[in-house]
Order: sequence, then structure tokens, then C-alpha cells
Amino acid sequence: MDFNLNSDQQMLVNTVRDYVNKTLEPIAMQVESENLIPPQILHEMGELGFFGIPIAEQYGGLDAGLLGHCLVIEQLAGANAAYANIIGASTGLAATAINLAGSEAQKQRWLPALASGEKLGGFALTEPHGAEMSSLGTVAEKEGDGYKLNGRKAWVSNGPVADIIVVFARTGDGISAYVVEKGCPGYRCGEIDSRMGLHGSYSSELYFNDVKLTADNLLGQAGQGSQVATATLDRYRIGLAAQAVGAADKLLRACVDYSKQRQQFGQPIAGFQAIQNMLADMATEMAMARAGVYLAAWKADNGQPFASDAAMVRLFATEMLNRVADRAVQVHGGMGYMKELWIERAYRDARMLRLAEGTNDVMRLIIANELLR
Amino acid sequence: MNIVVCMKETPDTTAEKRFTADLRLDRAAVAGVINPYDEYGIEEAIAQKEKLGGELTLLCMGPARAEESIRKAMAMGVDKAVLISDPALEGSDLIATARVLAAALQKLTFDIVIFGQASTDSNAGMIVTAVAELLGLPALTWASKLTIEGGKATIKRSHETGYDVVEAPLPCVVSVTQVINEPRYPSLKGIMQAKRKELTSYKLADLGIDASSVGSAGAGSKVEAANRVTLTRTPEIFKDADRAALYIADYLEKRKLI
Repeated sequence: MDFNLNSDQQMLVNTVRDYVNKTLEPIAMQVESENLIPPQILHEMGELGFFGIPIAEQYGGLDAGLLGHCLVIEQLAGANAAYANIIGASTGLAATAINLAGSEAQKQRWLPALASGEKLGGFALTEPHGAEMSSLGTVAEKEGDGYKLNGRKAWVSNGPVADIIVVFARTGDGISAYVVEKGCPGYRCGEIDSRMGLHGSYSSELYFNDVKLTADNLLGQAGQGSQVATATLDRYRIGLAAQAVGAADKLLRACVDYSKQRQQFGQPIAGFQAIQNMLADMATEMAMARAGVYLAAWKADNGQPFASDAAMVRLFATEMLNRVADRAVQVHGGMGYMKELWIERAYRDARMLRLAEGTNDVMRLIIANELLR
Repeated sequence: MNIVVCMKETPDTTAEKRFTADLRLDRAAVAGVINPYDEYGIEEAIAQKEKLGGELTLLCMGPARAEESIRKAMAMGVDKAVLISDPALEGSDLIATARVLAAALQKLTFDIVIFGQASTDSNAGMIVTAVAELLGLPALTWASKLTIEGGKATIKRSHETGYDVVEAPLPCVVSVTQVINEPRYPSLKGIMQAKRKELTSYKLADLGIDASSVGSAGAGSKVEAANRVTLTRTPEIFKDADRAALYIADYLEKRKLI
């Protein structure tokens, strides 16, 4: 067993860390207060390759696998959840679905723009009443050689800014996946959702009103949409867990620094066992989650079954982050609750990860189903 | 336009430096990085290549582990690299280093050779002119701007009262300072492509250099002692707040700083 990152992966990590420290960290508070990642920063991240890590080179990506993607997401997540969220929705969901299910022509058509960050992707599965496949209300009717799409999707990450959206709809054959491009007649996005956290990234409802699609917009076989969604989400979950690990790592480092410097009763609070216990638990849980992320990503990259690992690591890592964020507020005391520090933001951002694209309760169902099969 | 850029791997600038028993810098103990001054040389070489076309080769003398820094330069945009690595080179002084680099440059095709202004470990800044001298080429040093046009290179060399414009016909050797550009990040895509770029290794024998003339054996200088430099400055405290600005301006003016 070799647990070392190879030299490419190590250089990816070092380069992204350097970029985070020099460019993204200094604007983290600004991204939160203005609810905006400066467009030139997103553009630069695209040029550097942040959006194309797991995508094959012939489609403009880096071909660095899901593990490479996770390593990059982990570094970005420490700076601000918005970066990981935008890339997660565009690369981890939309581009991943097209990469898994698309024909050669479809990959050539959509992946290069997604890999370079020139266009952003969205993944429209969830509807106002839920994300259960069997009850999707969005419908694609056969019309001539193509389809006519009608329906409404909710809380679509990147919804207001996405150019290329993978949409799941009911058809005569069951559920099918389609690629819809922004600007086509009948397509409209709703108001930007007002959310508890993840500021600087957006979600919204999407509306499809007699949107005309050709056979070229159908992703994978008709009726195979559920499989496309499941295979995509299995991969996405590992990236989400990587995001949780990166955010927890940053919180832990902040707690270590703060507890060594904050004086109470004539000594740094790091001297108190109550604080030490919290730090030890944070570090332990974070390290276990990180090992789980790398293992699940490695399995996915090496063609081994990984759906259950993905659900487990997503469940554990995101719950872990919420415990770490809670303790981080505790270690920082009143300062941890103040908006002038970033700890309260990380606490709010963390909450979403237990809900995104299938709640952690759904993760438990997946794990149990696998056990009881 | 064929460009060669020279790079040294230096100990991480932020790491604590230690000496070996024979009073040389212990390079094995700390991580190596691209000599920070050379990052400007590499950036300038890449920018010139992007503008003028041609091929960009990186030349490095150092231990085998310098490959990591070389790959980083490749990820930034260097096309290929030559690493001169030989155990006998350990402990080489700057004359020996210049001879080795000059010998390697004679095996390469170039119109211009670009260096950083110095290395952050020894900070002598003399390799550039020594290499130029050995090759019989003009040296344009301390460039804060470089223009390559019409078969010649023109630089701006800044100094305290302005700048000089200096030019030389190609081929020539140039060293650049840290005001010349802002080094780019290696792109993530570049990192993945770097491993497929050509890296050639030379031993001393490939360059026809006798091992006894380089390294500790051939060094013309010997380190007798190494001492930590302690700088003590006496602070001057001026207490008249109303006249403070005037006082500071006067202080700086006397020292020709403003």
C-alpha cells in the first residue's frame, strides 16, 4: 500500500495552496460581504485549470482523476465554501454527468468550455417537492425527432449563472437526462435564493416552458436518467466530503493558533485540558475523514465499486465538519460568534453540506441498502 | 528565438539554515525551491518566448532532487530542461559553476541566455558575468526591462537616479531583477503536462570537464569560519509630534532616500 501522493498530485496541492494563500484568502471576507466572487478571480481560476481536474485531456481537462479534484477542492474549501460550491456544481455534477453519459460528440461540444471555466454548469434534479426520481414533475414529451421540456426545478446550484444545465425529466421511457443551454427559448431562471450561507455562490429555481430539444440534447439512453444521476452523485459526494475536510482543516488550524495566543486565568487557553480535548477530537475526526475521502476517490479512479464508500465518507465527513465548526465557535468563545471573524461564516456554510444533493439521512439509506442487499 | 534560462535550486527561503561540518550550507536538511530571483528569469523567458516563438530550455546544475523545481518551471511554461548533476560537483565555487554552465551552454543552441540577478543562498550575483566571459558573449546585467528586437537585446538598468539603456547584439547573456515582471503561477494543466516534457541529464564526463577541477576538490576558495551576523541598530525616538513629519522628511532627504 502506498499512501503517498505522487509528485503531480503534490504539486497540484502546493500550487493551489499557494494560490489560496496569496489570492483567495485575502478576499474571503469580501466574497462573504458582497456575496460575489470577483469575476476576474473566477476567470483566473478557470485559466489555471481549477474547473477541469477530473476531465480528460482531449476535452481540455487535466485528467487528474477524482482524487486530484478532491485534493483541489480540499484546498479551496478552507478559503471560502463558495469556491468549492461553484466548482462542485459545474465540474463535480454537470461536467461529470456529461463525461459519464455523453456521446463523443456531446463531450466535444460541452466539456471543453466547462473544463476551462469559460462556461459554468448546473445540475437540475431537485424539484420543489423533492428529489425523488419516481415523482419528478418535469416532463419531456416526444415531439418529432426531438422533445418538448416543461417543468420547474428548485435550489439548483449555479442556477442563476449556469450556461450548460443537465436536466432530469420524466419521459415515456422513465426518467431521462438532457442538456439544456442557457438562452434557449422557454428557459428561464428564477430569483437568486436567499440562503443561510455559501455566499458568493448562488442557487435558484429554473423554469422550462415548452423548451424544444433535439435528440442531440438527450444525455445517455432514453429512460436511463436515473442511472446517470446516481453515477454522477456517487462521485459528487466524495468531492463534497473533500470540501468538508478542507473546511475542517482550516477551522482546526485557526483553533490551534487562537488557543495558543488567547490568555485566560494567566495562561494560554491551550493549556486547559477542556480545550485540548476539543482540539484532539477535531484533529482525529478530520484525519479519519480525509483518509476516507482519499480511499473512496482512489477506488473510483481505479474502477472499483465505491458507491457505499462515497455515501459513508460523505456522511462522516460532513457530520464531522459540523462538530468541528461547533467546537471552533466554542474555542473562540464570543469572538467565534462575531461577524468580524470568519468562524461564524464557516459554521453557517458547514450546515449545507449535510443537505446537499441527498441529505445525510439518504446516505444512511444507501449504506443500509448495500448492507441488506 | 531560442532562449535558455538558468535556474538554481535554493533552500526554502523561509526555512532555518544550518551548516554542515565543513561549513557549507546543509541543503539536504531543508526543502528546495526555485531560487526566488530565478522565478523572474523564468517568467521573463516564458513571456519572451510567447511573444517571439521558438524554444525555451531550462539549464540547471544541482542534485537529482532539483528535478522537482525543474518540473515546476516546466509547469509554468518551460519547454524542456537540462540538469547537470554529478556527485563531484558538490562544493563547487562560483568559477567552477560558471565553467560547468558555460560548457553545457556550448552544447545548446540559443540566441539569448537569461539569469535571475543572483541566488538567495550565496547572493554573489557573479555567475552571470563569469558565464558570459567564458563564452565570449556580452552580458547585460540587472535588467528591469528587456526588449529583444532586430538581432539585439536592449535592457533598462535602474539605479538610484534613473536608468541606463544598454544594448548588445545577439547572442548575449542577460540577468533580470525582480521589478521586471510578476512571475505566474504554474497552471494546473501545466503541472500535468510537465511530466511529459524532455529532461536531459548531463554528467561531468558529458561536458568534458575533469572532476578534480570542480567541486570541493577544485574550489579556489575555502570556508574558514561561519558566523551568525547580528545587526544592532539603535532606534532614534523623536518626541515632538508636531514636527515629526518634517523631521522624518529631513532624515530621509539627508540619506538621499527621497
